[in-house]
Amino acid sequence: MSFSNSRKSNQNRNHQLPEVADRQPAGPTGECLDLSIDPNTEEIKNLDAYQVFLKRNLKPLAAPVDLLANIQARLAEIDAQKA
Amino acid sequence: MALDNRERIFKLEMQEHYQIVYNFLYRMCGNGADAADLTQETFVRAYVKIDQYESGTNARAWLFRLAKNLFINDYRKKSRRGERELDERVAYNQRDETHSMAGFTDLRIAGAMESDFSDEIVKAMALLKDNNRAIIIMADLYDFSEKEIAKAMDLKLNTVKSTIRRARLALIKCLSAYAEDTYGIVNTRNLGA
Repeated sequence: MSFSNSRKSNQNRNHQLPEVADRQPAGPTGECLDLSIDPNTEEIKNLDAYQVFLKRNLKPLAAPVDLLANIQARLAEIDAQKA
Repeated sequence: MALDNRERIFKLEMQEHYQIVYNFLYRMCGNGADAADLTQETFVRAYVKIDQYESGTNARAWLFRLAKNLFINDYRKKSRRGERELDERVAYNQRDETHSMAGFTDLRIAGAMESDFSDEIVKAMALLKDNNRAIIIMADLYDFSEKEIAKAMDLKLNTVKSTIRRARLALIKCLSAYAEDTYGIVNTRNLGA
């Protein structure tokens, strides 16, 4: 009985491995993002990849075309008040 | 300070940073119109307070400090949000509970480098406290060193380091939940590889 259970257990264990492997994501297969944390330092292992990922997703935005002119106009008002 | 000297320093050292200050404030407040208004106010404040700036030092960092203070002290008080803020201290302290840290020690997200996470990053960042969001934006989007951030924000270096560590962990925690639902997570340790 004991032998049988042990054998069954081994069979299950052996049989489980491919099932676990099958659970790997079937989604996008492109470049992997590594957000792993070093458990000793609690720092991101691949800081460069994390920062590239952030920068790719939060790209610089163009400021309104009149923003600099508006700033300069405000400063001219300040100068005029002081003069 | 004489007017011509004030103008000279402003034009030579400040003005060129208006785009990046606008972007920083956009990431802080989340909309273009308010970011433009705040950028104007930041540069007006910089012009008025230019005596406090040491010419030839880090103008960009000084402007970020003014912008951050303006955002928190003026803008935020006027539009106090009722949203729940993620307390990244809590997220950080919970890392050992239910083995949450274990999930981060080998966390790879398939295909994520080429996928659009922008909305989720914005949402996750919005949950950080304002001061901490400012620090993480400076560190991770604009490549300020920890020393520069400490000096600009008048914080101790260790405070900046621990804030960055906690905020990154909190961000990753938010993003990993989204990624797991959307893309699946490749975690070789959990797969026994």
